[in-house]
This record gives sequence, structure tokens and C-alpha cells, in this order.
Amino acid sequence: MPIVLYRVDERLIHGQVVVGWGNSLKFDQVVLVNDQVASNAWERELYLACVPPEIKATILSVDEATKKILRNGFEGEKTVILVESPFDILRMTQKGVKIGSVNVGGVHSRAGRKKILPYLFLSEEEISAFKKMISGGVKCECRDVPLAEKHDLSTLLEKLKP
Amino acid sequence: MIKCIILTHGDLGSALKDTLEGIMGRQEGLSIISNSGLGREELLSALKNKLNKEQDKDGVIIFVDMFGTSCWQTARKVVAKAGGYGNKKVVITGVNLPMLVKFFSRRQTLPMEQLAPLVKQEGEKGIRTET
Repeated sequence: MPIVLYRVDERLIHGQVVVGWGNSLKFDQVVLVNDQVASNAWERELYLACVPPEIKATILSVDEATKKILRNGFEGEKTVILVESPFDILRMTQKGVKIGSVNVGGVHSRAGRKKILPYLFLSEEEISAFKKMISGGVKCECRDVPLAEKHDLSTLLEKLKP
Repeated sequence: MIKCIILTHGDLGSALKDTLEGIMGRQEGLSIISNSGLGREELLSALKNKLNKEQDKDGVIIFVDMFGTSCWQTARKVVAKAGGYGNKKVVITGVNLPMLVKFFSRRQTLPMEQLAPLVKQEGEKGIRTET
């Protein structure tokens, strides 16, 4: 089984991912892709503690994950790739990773971000990163938990007032 | 006096506070934080701000609803450099009403190193099955 979900979620590994998406997709493995977490032993330990024992968890930097995806290193297991921001997905696609669609989960309110959905607030830079992904053929679908309604990000961004 | 912060998903903390105060009356040094709408950094700042306000020589227990969640990660980060009960900050997960009742009944008389295990034990004792 290949990669079953790419998800952008600022909270990284947390209840919605492990419980919500875990129950729905029954994935074998979650790969947290984040340079900061990957470089900090204490944070790695913290996030690994949050995954139930039946799910395998790995933490990789963006470059490590990119290399592993490009050599089909995740083919053996049903895998979820989790990143914090669209910038990390964009870095992967720019290095040649082919991504059909991305699930956009929680990115929360902060100064300088516009409200798109109750769980999705984006800055100008983040909007532009998503637009680059979309124009490169990546479908971006907003859905915080599996049973929630899906929203196409490209449609939502078109409606957004400048 | 040992203080209490209830850090949960959604409105759970607020409902626990209201319910507890319905039983025991209004409590000093009891605050709540919800993770609703907050990213990792924002939730951590919210907790740090609350801890600065609630700073107390006797310490604080952070009650969290569920292990492994964003609430737990945040609480765990602020006690990261703790050595035993030395820094007087303790995280207890699986918050329920029995443990809060015990906490507010005994926090005036017990030091942290006795109160925290007692409160955890009370929470566990409150979970039973009747068949």
C-alpha cells in the first residue's frame, strides 16, 4: 500500500489525526515531516509518545522524507504523511514528489491570517504556496475530520476578497 | 495554595469547572483553557500566560483530558525540565470529576508530592464497571 493521505495540520500528531483519520483510513504508519521536530530529540520523543502502539510512527526532515518518497520507500505500508504547513509540501513537490491531492486540516487563527473556514486561517504567503501547489496540479481538499464536509480550497480561494 | 489549570478540548474544561463549582462552591485558583481554534504555538502561549498569572510557591496541577493529544503535548512541554516534584508543576491526564473533588478538598492540607498521587488514585477509583 502506498501513501494514503498527505495532510497539512499545524497540530501535527494529535487526536483528530490518530483517532479521527486513524479509525477511518486504518493506516499502518504515520510519518511526521517537520525539520524542527526532526532536529530535536525531546520533541521527537514527545510526538512519538502520542501514537498508539499499533500504529508505526516515524519523524523525518523534509529532505529525508522527500528522498524516501522518491525511492518509493513507503510502498510496503499504508502511510499518512503529516506536515505543518503548505511550504513543506511545496518543497517536496518542487523536488519531484508527485502528489495527487492534499488534505488540508487545522491551520489556526493568528495575526496576519485570513479566515477561510472555522479551522482554516491562512496568511498571504500560505495562500500563495497553496496556489502554486494547485496550479501544479495538486488537488487541495479541506476537511478537518473524515466525516466532515469536503471543501475544495481552490474554489474557496477564488471567492476570497483581495 | 496549590492551583489548578484544566486544559481540554472544546468546552469540556468549562463544563467541568461549572459542574465542580455547583458541587463545591466557587473555587480560587481554578482556571480553564480550551484548545479550540488554537495552533501549537498559540496554545503553548495561552498556557504559559496562565502559568505566569497563577504562579505560586505551592505549585500548580495541570489537568488534561486525554493523553497524547495537543493538550497533553502542550502541558508536557511546560514541565519538560521538571525533576520530580521539584518545580511544583504536575500534569495529570484523564481529568474527571472525582479527581477534581479530591483536589479541591485536600489542596489546603497536603503538599504537592502527596496531593498529586492521591488525586490520580481518586480519578482511577472513580472508574468502575457494574454488570
